Amino acid sequence: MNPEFLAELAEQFRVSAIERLVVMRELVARFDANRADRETLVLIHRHFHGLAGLGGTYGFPRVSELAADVESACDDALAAAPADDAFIALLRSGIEAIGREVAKK
Amino acid sequence: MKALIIDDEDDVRQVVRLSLGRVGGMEVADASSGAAGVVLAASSHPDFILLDLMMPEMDGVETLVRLRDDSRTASIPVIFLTAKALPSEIERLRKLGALDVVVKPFNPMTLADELRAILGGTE
Repeated sequence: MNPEFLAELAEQFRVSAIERLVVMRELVARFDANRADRETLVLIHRHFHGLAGLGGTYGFPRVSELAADVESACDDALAAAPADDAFIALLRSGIEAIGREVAKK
Repeated sequence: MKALIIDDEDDVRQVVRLSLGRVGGMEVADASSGAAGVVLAASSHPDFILLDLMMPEMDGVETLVRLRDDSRTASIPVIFLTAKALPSEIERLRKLGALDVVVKPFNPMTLADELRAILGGTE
């Protein structure tokens, strides 16, 4: 193992994830304002899917777990509209939990 | 060995480039969409393609079909990269012509070895 290489990867992911979480918060706010906006929900789903695949690769396995859970909820929401308040809260709490994990290292 | 990574996620392409290039000593090209990947594969003739399954517009399966339909790319081994790897899905991808499936998250320190082992089975 090359610790410097892994640390470099982790830092790259941290920077990228922080930027991504800003975008995700905006998308969730947009979706909350119009819960019939399926296109925005697809984008939110895509971000959680991306984080689920990326977190563990970059050394943040908990990010993968958290994102996979919310991605699964997004799958359900895409299959059965409209989204309720609990789902919106789940999106927001998932984003903040991922943010905390990213900030830990 | 020349690899082509096709994935819409910038962070995935970045870590694969570093993993296969710096750790694995491979030459790595990348494309951010299935359509761009099909064009690049035909012109660059990689030894294998690492292909994301879930992409907007042209997904991994459609990309694989297009690669197989083009005589310039039909024989290039394709390995899927996916976070959703149910056994039934893996079997479906193999039947479509994929060589194998690598599951995300993956270990960037061992990805090149894993891919060489998969490709070695075809030689």
